[in-house]
Amino acid sequence: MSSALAPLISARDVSITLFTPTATVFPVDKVSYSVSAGRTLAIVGESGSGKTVLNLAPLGLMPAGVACDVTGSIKLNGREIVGLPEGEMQAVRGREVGVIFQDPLSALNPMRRIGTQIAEVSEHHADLTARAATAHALDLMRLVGIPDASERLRQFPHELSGGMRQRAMIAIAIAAEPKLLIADEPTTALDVTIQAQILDLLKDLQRRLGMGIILITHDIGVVAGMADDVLVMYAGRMAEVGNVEAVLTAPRHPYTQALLNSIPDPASRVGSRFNGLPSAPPDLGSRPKGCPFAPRCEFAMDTCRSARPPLALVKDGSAGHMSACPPKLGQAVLRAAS
Amino acid sequence: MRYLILSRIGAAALLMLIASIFCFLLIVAAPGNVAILIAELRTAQATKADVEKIAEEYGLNDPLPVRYGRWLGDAVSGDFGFSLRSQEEVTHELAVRIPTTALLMLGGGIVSLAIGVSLGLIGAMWPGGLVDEASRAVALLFASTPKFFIGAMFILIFAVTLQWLPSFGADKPQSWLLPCLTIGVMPGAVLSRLIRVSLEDAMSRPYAVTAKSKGFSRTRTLFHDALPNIGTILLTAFGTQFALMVQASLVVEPIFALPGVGSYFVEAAKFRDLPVVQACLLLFAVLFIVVNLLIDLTVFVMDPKSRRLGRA
Amino acid sequence: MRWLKGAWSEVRQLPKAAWIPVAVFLFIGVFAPWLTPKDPIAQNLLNASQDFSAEHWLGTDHLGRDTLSRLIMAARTSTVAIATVIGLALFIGVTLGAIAGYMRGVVDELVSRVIDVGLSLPSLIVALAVIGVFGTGFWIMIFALALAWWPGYARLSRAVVISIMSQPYIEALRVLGASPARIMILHLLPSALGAVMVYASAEAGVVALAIATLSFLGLGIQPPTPEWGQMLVDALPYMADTPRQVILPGLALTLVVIGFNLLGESITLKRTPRSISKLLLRRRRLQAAIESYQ
Repeated sequence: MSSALAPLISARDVSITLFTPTATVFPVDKVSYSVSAGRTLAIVGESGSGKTVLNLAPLGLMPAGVACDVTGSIKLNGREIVGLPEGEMQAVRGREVGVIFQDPLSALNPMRRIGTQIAEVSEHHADLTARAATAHALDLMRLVGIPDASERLRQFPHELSGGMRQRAMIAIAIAAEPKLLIADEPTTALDVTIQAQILDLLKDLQRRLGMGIILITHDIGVVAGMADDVLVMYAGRMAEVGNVEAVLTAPRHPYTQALLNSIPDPASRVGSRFNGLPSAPPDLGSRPKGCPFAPRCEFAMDTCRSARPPLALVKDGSAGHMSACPPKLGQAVLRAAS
Repeated sequence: MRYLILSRIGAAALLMLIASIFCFLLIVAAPGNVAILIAELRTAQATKADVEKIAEEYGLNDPLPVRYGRWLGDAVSGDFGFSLRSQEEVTHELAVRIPTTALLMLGGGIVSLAIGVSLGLIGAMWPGGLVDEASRAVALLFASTPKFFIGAMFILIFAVTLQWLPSFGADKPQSWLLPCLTIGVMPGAVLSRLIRVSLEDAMSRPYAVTAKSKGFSRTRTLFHDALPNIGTILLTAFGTQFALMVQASLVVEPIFALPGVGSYFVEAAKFRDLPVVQACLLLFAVLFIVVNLLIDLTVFVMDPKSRRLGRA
Repeated sequence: MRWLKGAWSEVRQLPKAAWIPVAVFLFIGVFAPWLTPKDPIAQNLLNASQDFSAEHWLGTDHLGRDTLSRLIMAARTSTVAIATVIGLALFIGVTLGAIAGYMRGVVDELVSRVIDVGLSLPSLIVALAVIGVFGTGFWIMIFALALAWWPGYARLSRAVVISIMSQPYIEALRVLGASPARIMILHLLPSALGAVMVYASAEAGVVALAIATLSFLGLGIQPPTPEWGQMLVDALPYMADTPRQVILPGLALTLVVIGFNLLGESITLKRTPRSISKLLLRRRRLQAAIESYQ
């Protein structure tokens, strides 16, 4: 979180309400974060914790048929993007923010050639001619490590392997050289062996292009390898935020602790008990009065259930380490962790 | 790929063979003695000897497979015998009438594509807008209105009341306008809804969200990303609509007094002109099977997935 | 009676707007003889081609017959014809489809190819050919249309039967020694019939159109029995003077077909139309906005 430069993106108190034909849900409730150039923020949480909605809804990238209201403030390169008209938003998407989606097979158009899908981005944003854009697409494909790029250019998405497809997706996202890259679970749909390659590629690109990255994931292992900062979300709210090392080694929120516990230890005996979280995350259709994690929390006190514990700086923690757990409990969590 | 195409062609040929067997059996199953029917048509008072002579002449006493083989051989070489009513060669009468029907299909096809594509695209560009809602209602209305009622209303409005257009005949170019409209409006309405709905479906796919994330407008996404994905659906639907349009010619040609195959078929059915009925049925069956085959093959070539199948 | 119960629960789930027009049509069709104000066949040339009046609410035709009575009576003609055609086509289609799905092998191949040919030809063309061979008349028309309609039902019931046959309970029944006939009659036919009935009710509008079209061409229901398509063609020569005699039967037929098509659309989509859900979305949004201010 610490950077002398003004952050690329800084979100303050973002709340989002989603309206579907059958329900109204509140997937994001007063979330704040910021990312600077060259840094990576990982946003971690279970599915349904609001981490994807938080990043895609303000950009207007929710699936058709879902209406959403965004409140709060998100400043991208110093410009407010909450409430930005669609016309101006189009200049932001692709140009200032690139997005990588979870499943490259469905995110790529099955009826169009890979080359066209990459080239059209720079053709549009950098005003290149079709020929120049194709040449650029070829460079991009080489940059993201697609072998035989000139041949792949003319292929269709289904002709590529999963890893190659995700590389193509990354080429699309960085085609207009955005300063910020949002990667929504970029490795979830891939084989384990490919996952590491894609993460390495992202790190490499970040170093070369100086991008800020928001990495949305549910895999705390990915966080440790990739991120500088981490934001742990639970039921649409911030549970804990701070420097990766601080949060992962000295967690102050029981949910973070539970996430860390759920990583199977390679040293433990086969057949030993798996430390999963009991029961399911809460329903986002209601906003609980107290801490949303309380029903699943082993440390919870009565006050946790009656009033929402505020997000506060952690005592004797590293700079910017904040937790939404009362300090007394936070200490207990820390003791349990060590 | 060649194997797949050949097997598809083989399946179509099999269908044609089965269809021809049905055409043949239908006439065999005709009630009453065909020989008597023909004899009565030739002379008012036919004797038993006359009937026997005709049965011999038409080979009606031979076993069924022999008769089928002979009939199919004739049909393939373009000989459908003589009309019982006019004594003319059926092939010749059909040849005279086919251009009229073909022109009607062409005009109807143009009308339906013009209506379908324009309304469908407008509806998809502004979903929930006036054109979208109106075209939804109009599509339901036209899909539910009988062709003969549409035709009658067109005549009433444009020919009788306004007197802008002639209501029958095929001599002047403008006399084609009402028949083509009558035959093309309903498929057009159906196509417009189909285009609208499948575009909406394509726009809700993840690749449409990707296009949006690239910074493209909805309209551009619609044309560049959604449209290529509905091509095969459109083509298949157009095949169905074409069949329905040919079916509609049975009604539209008599209404507008167009001398086409449709009105010929209806007249033949009214007077039990068996060779003509048989020839028309076989002609239509072959037409639909061929059109379906062509559409299948085009869809096959259009889909990049099957293209790779061919290369592998 | 399982299939009847299934079909009824399907109908109950639909929005009222989808089945009420059809219900009204069926009511008029069934009770037509008690609903007609005048004799629909009685001619009175002195009263020919009259305008709307208290005596003849919708006027009279060129032979002086009461139009309203004829329209109502034609609803009965249609109801009877539609029901008979669908019933006969269901009988042929479900039986053949179920047999093909149960036996598989050569029988299935044969039936399937016949179905393919049947489906590649538009129904009206098949019906016209059958009428062209056997002559005109009510029962020949019914027979011709049923012959044109069964392949669709057969394909559907074949698919249903095949999917049921792959379920473990059928295997269990066999092991328990249930005879093929028992499995067929007690398990396969009812399910196939249920599924096909729903589809058939959605498609009834097309059957209604076909009947009217054949009658319009003079190949279906013959005068003096009132039928909408035939009423329309009768009035065509006098269209310039009494256009209502053309418009009224056409309108009646169109309304019925719209009713059936709405029903069919609701059945196939099994949900409220999209425009309604959009309205719902807007209302929810408003509600949430109001709540947030409280």
